[in-house]
Amino acid sequence: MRQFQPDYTNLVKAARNIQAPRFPLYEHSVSPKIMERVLGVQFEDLYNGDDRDLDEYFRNYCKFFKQMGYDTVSFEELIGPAMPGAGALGGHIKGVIQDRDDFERYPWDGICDTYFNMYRRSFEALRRNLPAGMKAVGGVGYGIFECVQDLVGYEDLCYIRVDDPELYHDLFFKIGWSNLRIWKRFLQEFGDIYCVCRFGDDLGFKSTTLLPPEDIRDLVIPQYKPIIQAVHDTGKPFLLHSCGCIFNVMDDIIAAGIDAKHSNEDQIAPFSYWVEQYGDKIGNFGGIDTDAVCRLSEPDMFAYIKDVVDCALGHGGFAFGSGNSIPDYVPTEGFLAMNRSIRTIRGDCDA
Amino acid sequence: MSILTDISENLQRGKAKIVKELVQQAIDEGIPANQILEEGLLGGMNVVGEKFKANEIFVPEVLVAARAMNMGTTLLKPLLAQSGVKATGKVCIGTVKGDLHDIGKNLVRMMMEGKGLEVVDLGVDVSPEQFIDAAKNQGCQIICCSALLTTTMGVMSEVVEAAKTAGIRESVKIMVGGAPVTEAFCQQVGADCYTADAASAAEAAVKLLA
Repeated sequence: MRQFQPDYTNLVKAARNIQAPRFPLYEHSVSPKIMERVLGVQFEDLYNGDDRDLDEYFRNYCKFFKQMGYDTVSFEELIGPAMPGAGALGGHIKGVIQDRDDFERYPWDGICDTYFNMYRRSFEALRRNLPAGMKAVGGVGYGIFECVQDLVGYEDLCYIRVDDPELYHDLFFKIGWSNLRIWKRFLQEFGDIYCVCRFGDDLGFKSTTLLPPEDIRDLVIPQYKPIIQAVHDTGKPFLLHSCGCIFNVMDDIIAAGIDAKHSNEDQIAPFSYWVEQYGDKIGNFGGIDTDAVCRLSEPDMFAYIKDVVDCALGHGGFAFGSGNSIPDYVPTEGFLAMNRSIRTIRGDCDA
Repeated sequence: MSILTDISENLQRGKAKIVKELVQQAIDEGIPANQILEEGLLGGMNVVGEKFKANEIFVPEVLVAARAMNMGTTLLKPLLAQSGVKATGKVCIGTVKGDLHDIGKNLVRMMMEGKGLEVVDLGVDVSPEQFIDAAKNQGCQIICCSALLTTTMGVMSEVVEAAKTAGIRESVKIMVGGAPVTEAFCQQVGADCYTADAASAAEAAVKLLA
């Protein structure tokens, strides 16, 4: 393996849909448990410690990305935990907002302060520990739809859509207002450590979008626009992570100003389809189905990844990695095999 | 417009309260419960299933239609029991062990109920033993396994094996589905049926029971 020198501008170019001189690696997130196994160091618990612990956490966190050949460090802090009573999205609890009274009583004004009170230390520790040549990608985690679901719950949101259309409408606009406040302050206070800004908002599932496309056009995307604009105002590109079959709203999302898109699943469409459809408009990130990372042998994975890379070369900006993320259930060997394959193909090491 | 058509159309629009009122009105008019169920409620859910499969409507519309159907069936259940009408089949459904995702599973449950099947919902994080217990003790003819995670879908093969070990494999059909699941995977693990979406799953279940 040749000596790797990170250069975050490669990812910026890819996000701006320009093919970078050295194509970058990208992950939406990597479980700290995987990082621990790769580095051979236990550090996850240090996140909850004092400032020295936190520095040690981020030294290891950043070291992982540098050691694995990334130009950037993927890092975000989620809005969800900063919203009182949230957790309906993944926590299997009843949403804290079920009707107009809940909505009116909800402490919307405090979310922004809570977010920064919770996370200021970690963003500052990240800043102190970013290696030379690296910047971060990410920022404020959770998009508009995900925040609404975290407060209401998906199924109950669908019922509110029919039972109280005005409340349904107001939920998206209130979250949009709240998230924009967070993003503006985030960019002001921590924008210097980020080169590409991103949130994740899973809008689809296997066969279509989770909401009717007109709802996404009328209620969700209008909330994306000012956040994307705020990111652009600081001279940075915006990357959207959104899982699922969202082709029926992709043109609208692109029109809202995103610079790049991440997440793809072969069951929905292979990476080549994304590149063919949107490669002339936005950067495409990801490419390697997480299922392939979990299940393919290294030779099969190398061949799979070679096909993915070949289909993307010459079609604008791209960054390679899993099509979703590397949660702790991904076998460490699978992640390492993916990483070795990509780096071999881009010339970091001999095949 | 007949009251049964009215029930079907209001169900399709998710108007639960109106559906309940219309079902009560139909009962009061002396229309047999089975006819209200078949031509009103299930007729409406059939249209919903077809439109969902064709991407003409989306999950929220399916959920509210299913809620409307449940409001109607609550009124009909005692009457159906009195007249000895039984569900066309019994299914147990769950998201497999290690996986907590339930939107897809819930959707399949609703679609199957919309086809007149009785569905035992085992919830999420369901072990192979729980699937087998439900099938044996509650008389389910079909086991439906759902998974979102690529690493949990392997549990589906354990369900198939557990059914063999329990000696019920010949009498129970096993259906699999979820984001990472494919027809090839279904065959590989020895399950009976894979479908790509909830509406197709409900149709397939009815065929398996025929």
